[in-house]
Amino acid sequence: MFDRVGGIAGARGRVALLALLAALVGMPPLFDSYYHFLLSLMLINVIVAVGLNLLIGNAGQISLCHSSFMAIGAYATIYLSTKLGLNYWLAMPLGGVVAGAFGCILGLPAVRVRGFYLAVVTLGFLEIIQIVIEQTPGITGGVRGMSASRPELFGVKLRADLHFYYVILAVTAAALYCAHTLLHSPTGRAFNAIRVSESAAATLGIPVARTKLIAFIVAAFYAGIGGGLFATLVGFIDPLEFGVWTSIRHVVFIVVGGLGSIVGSAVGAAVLTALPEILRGFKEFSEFVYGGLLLVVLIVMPRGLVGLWPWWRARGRASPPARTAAVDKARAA
Amino acid sequence: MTAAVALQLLVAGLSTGSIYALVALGLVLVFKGTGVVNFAQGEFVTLGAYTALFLSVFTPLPYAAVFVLTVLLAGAVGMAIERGLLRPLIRAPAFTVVIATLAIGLMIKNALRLAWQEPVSTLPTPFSSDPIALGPLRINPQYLWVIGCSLLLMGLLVVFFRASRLGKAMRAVAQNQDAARLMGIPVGRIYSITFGVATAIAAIAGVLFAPLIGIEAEMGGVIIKGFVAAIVGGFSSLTGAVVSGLLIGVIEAFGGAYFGGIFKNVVAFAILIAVLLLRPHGLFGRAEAHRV
Repeated sequence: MFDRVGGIAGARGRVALLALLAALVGMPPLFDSYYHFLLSLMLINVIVAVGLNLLIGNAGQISLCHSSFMAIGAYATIYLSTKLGLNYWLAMPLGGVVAGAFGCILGLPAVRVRGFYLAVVTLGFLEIIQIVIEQTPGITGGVRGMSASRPELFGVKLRADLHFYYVILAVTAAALYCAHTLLHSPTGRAFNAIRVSESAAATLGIPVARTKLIAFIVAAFYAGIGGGLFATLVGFIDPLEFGVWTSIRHVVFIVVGGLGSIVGSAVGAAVLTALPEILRGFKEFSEFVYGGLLLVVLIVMPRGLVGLWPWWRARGRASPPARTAAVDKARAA
Repeated sequence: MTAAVALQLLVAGLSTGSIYALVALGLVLVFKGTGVVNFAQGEFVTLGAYTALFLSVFTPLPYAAVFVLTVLLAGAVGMAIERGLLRPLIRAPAFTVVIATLAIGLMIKNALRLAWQEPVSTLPTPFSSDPIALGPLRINPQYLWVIGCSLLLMGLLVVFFRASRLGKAMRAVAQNQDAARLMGIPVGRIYSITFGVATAIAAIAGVLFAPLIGIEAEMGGVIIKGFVAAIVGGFSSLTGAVVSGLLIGVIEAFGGAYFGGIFKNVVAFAILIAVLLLRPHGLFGRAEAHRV
């Protein structure tokens, strides 16, 4: 049902995917608008998490500034569409491109360092972006934040959350498909190669630095698109939204879901976005619980939720009666 | 700028710098001793400050007793965290350890935020906030106390590592784990003690830092400056960490006075990126050979 990188494979996988897609298209109109908003948030986090997982889970580069790229995409989208009057459907992808450009700016020094040095550099980048957002109120609205409006599509303003949800669903589907294609391309395979061993990858002729840089740019682009959609969905953004806690939340999504797995990113982001909303009174403790969850998953099941899949499939096959029968047969022979 | 103003800036910079130096010292100590880069070190600073706050609010103990008790408690907490949460991950990849320590920090920060809902609290100290006048000089006695305490602590650490049995055992484990184990040094226990000492240093930084910026859940953010100091210092040199910490404090103080607040906030990161690009092993470290 799933392939090596958590993409969909096989007939059963395709049927399950189509069923899920049909449910995501057909079911929401039956619920009220709160659930449309929640589903939209879940899908945006899926986009962001898939991008981050390409960088951390596949290419093996630690990043703690994913929320900064989200911020860059969000601010660029709003600035381009409201201040410069650009069409939203042009501004939003451009927001992703701007974020990708910043990913390249960060990537250039970052490909020279590894491990925890990289973690510190990305933390520094996050701080710098926060300071820049706060200190340039002319562009970003500073600490007071900035408000965004919904776009029009075919002459209809997408004011209802349900309508904008379908836009987000389409973008999410495209993002997941692109990630799947990328991971099966030579570049995507190179991501996994440099994670496993940079020296071995270099010996095989993989340009290590360029591959890392591509991973940074792609991850930043995904976060930028997610940020642009987030700003439009919520209608207001301020720098607090994109602090280090948001970055850590993104890391929790992919660690809990499963590092290096597309399905893992999607499941982790969707479940961990929905849970705090559903469990009332949980919000106050959410950071504490997320921290605990992260520790437990790291120590007990380092492969995340998708790591449970092979175990789940194998259940029953190795059940005691079957084994005794096989042993008896072998003895008789 | 007159000489008096410059000297005042120097003292202010050195006092903030000594906090950075203490944070960097804790980071380097744990890294050398156990190979763990502890992203929760900033939250251990917060934990120290809050422990001192709780002790001084809920018990009638004087400042000196609160200080000593805080350091002992923090050391015990650090040892417990190492034994319970980090030892199972000792062979895990760098990513896992980074994220695990981040998770520990996140939990400490939010436990404190939930336990003490005040936005910013102050820690009562025996020092008045009135500046001492030395000729044209006005110096906050709190600054002198911070600098003095940090220097004393660093001196004690030097003696500890050079002269005491335990300090020598810790250096041996840092140099070569297997050889240390063959010499009969209990490596696991040394890990715990190293972590405990680092946590105690962080707690001292917290108690000293509290009167300078106020106690709040976000004060662990100082870890970034600690990291910059540790990396500029080479990440394996205790002297390097201290000198770089003091240097960054002084550069921030003078930079802030000359070029304003933004410069003060970003200069540390500029230094970090410059050092990583031009001299990745730091100003005091030695270039490391990679085994393929």
